[in-house]
Amino acid sequence: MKRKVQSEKRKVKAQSLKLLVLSFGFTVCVLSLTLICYASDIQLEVTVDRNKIALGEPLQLNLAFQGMQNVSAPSLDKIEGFDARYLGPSTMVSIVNGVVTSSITHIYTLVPLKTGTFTIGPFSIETQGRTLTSKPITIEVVSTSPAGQQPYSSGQALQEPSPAKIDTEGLKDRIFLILSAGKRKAYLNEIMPLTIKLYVNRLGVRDIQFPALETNDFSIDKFGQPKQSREEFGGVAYDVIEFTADMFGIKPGEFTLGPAKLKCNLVVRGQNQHRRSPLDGGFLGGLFKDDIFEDFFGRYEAYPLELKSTELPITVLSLPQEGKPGGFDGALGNFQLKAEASPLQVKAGDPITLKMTVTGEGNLDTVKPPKLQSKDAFKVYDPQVKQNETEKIFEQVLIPDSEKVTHIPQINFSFFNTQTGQYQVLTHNPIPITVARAEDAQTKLIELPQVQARPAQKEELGRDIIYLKNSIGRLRRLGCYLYQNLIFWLFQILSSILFMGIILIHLKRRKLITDTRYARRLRAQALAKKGIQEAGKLLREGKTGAFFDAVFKTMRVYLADRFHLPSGGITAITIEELAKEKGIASEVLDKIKMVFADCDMARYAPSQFGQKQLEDIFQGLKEIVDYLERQKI
Amino acid sequence: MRTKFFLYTLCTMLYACGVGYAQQGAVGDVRSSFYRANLLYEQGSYDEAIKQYSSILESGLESGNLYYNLGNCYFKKGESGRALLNYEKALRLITLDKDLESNYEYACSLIKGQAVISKNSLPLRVLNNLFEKFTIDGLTVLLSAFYMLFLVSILISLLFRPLKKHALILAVFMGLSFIVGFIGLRRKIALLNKEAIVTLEQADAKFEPMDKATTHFTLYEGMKVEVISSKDNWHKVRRQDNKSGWIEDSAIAIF
Repeated sequence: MKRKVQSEKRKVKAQSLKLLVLSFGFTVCVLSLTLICYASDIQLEVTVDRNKIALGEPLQLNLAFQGMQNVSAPSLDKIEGFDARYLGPSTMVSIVNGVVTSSITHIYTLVPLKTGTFTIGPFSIETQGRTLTSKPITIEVVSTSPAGQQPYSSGQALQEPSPAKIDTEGLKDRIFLILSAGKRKAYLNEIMPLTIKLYVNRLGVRDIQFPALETNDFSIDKFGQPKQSREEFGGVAYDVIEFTADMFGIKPGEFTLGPAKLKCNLVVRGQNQHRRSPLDGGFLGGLFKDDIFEDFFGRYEAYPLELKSTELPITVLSLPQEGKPGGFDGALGNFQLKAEASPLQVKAGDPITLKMTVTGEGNLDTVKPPKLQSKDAFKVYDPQVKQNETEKIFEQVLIPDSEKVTHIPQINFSFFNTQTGQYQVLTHNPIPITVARAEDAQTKLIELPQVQARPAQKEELGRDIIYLKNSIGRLRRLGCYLYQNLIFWLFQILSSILFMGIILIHLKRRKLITDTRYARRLRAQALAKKGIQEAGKLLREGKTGAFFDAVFKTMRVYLADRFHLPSGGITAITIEELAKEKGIASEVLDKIKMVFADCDMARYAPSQFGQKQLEDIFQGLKEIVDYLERQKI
Repeated sequence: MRTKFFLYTLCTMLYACGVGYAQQGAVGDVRSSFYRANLLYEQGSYDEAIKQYSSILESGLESGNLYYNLGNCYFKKGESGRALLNYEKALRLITLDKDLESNYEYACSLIKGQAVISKNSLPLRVLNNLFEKFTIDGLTVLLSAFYMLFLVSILISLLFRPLKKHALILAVFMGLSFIVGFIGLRRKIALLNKEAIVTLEQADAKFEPMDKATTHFTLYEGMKVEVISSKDNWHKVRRQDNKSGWIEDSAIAIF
């Protein structure tokens, strides 16, 4: 058990040791590589943040040592016309594609002591056994502030222009555009690079648009994605945005290209005072700082600016007639030709694809298909063309007519070499092929149905109108439509009426079920009518007792239903209250009371009532019902 | 009273029978004219055939097949404008007839000049396509059916409580269908006697209704236009691309 644990420990120790050795080895390799890089690419670059300043205004001087970091700050005590002060170092290490680069920048502040033109440098600094020399930089010190800047005062550093003081002329040293072309003399249709660089020094710039160039003499491609870099120009460090595109002259002559125009927004402070460290980045630092923090408080403003470059004279030469080959189609550049065919063994009548690839540098748009020396014995179709940045591929279908064909003829491609200034003809040797007899193929297919042996040809069908109708079809009155038919509309109206009727009936039935007052009100008249008929019959039959019972019952039930009261609750008092409430006429009320009183009396002494009185009571009942039915109570 | 009503009913029935008999007789004549015209067509006497077919129309009767045959006669005669006019008329009555569709397309393909693309709005085009295959009568019947079903759905929703939800959904669907159908029918009716076919080989549509006016565009035989307004012998017509101009009455046939 112990042995096992010990052996495990040994293993772990051995692995740790291996890792340590590997890590050390890797570190040594990286360091050695770094040293190699350092040793090979040591440079001194001296830049200032501007080359025209006002007296008393500070100037930033950067001494950048590319390829090393262990360089101490050189002493710059004696610079004519300036008081130099060392601010500190700034180091940078970067690894791009495995290449390690490092640099140290020693930053100084130079304060001019008098006006005039001074030259700073050249500086010669010895380090690691090598003497590094910089270029001299010329600085102009003027008495007033250039570009509207305030003179330097204690505690105040570099100034940005305020919106009220924007002066494009004054800013021309700090933001400008440079237009350049790959060549000043080019042949017609010859591709050359066009470069437009935006130089910015210590200014915040945003909303940079693509440059615009108006020309009728050159064809210019679209600009690609701009590249951003830092560049020294006239001893001043600038942030540079570079726009590139390909262009070519479309007619011979001497032309002036440009000026290129570029629109952007200059970010300027709303207030004049602005504290700023000399270590602040002029461009990107300004962008980030301005946009996120300063704009948040509304202290910065965007000022639209249109920059113009200088014009660029370019001569476009026409192609020389001398030495122009016969098959020249206008291709310009320096190209190579490759050709291959497949299949190499075919039957007569079968297609062969000839793939011709033109590669190289130049204007591929001017490249036309290479030419076959002879097209005899072949049926040749138009080629299919594919093009990318560096090559143009032509796929041409050739069909040999007979089995006698032994090769694809020589291919020629001529172009004008812009590098040598001469015409050049590329040839590709004939490509041997084997063509079998077409009959062989037919004999093989003889067992197949003849329809399959030959490709079906597209049948051309004749066209004409279709023959007459044999029957006259459904006859109808000329110009009479159903929507004009009266019966149709009657049918629609009747349907609607029927629908409305059903709806009304349904609603009434629902009301009768749900609304008891309404139902009793409707029932009251019918029952009263029935009761009156009954009473009349009994009166005629001379049944006095039964007559009074019928009258009393009819009267009570009618009044109860008519006014939605319980039948038993109909008394002289309730009737009186009801009459007041409903506004029943006093004569009618008296009649009602009289009828009820007569009915009460008749129960005890029915013989008191003569025929005339009975008829009056009956008439009174009818009048009461009639009155109450007519009244909207 | 009852006797009077009986007599009135009897008279009405007799009159109806009489009319029916007379119509039957007329229909018999019409059919014989139709067959005669077909025979004349087969013999290549297109003018005579046209006369026979036209006599049927003059009697106040029409049918899709009649217009179809008449269109064929004009086509064979080389009058593609008149042929298309009759095919268009036939299309209003027998919209689903494949023979008619084929002949119409063929005749249309022979129209000179470039095809004019319709500039109607999308809803209008959808509406036109939706009801293209309906005749006016067919659409009327369909609308009537939608209306009846709408009423029935409402009744079901009121009388049969358990089916109320489904019936109301059906009622809404029928109501919407009715509205859409009604718009379609209105458009079809609005086009009656407002559409025209160019019958001359070539006709100039002018900016103003006068001979000396500037020509706006040229119409070719067989082209279909919409008549917007009329003045004297001039009609203001609108092409399918919404260009409009004045054209002489003799150059078009309105249908």
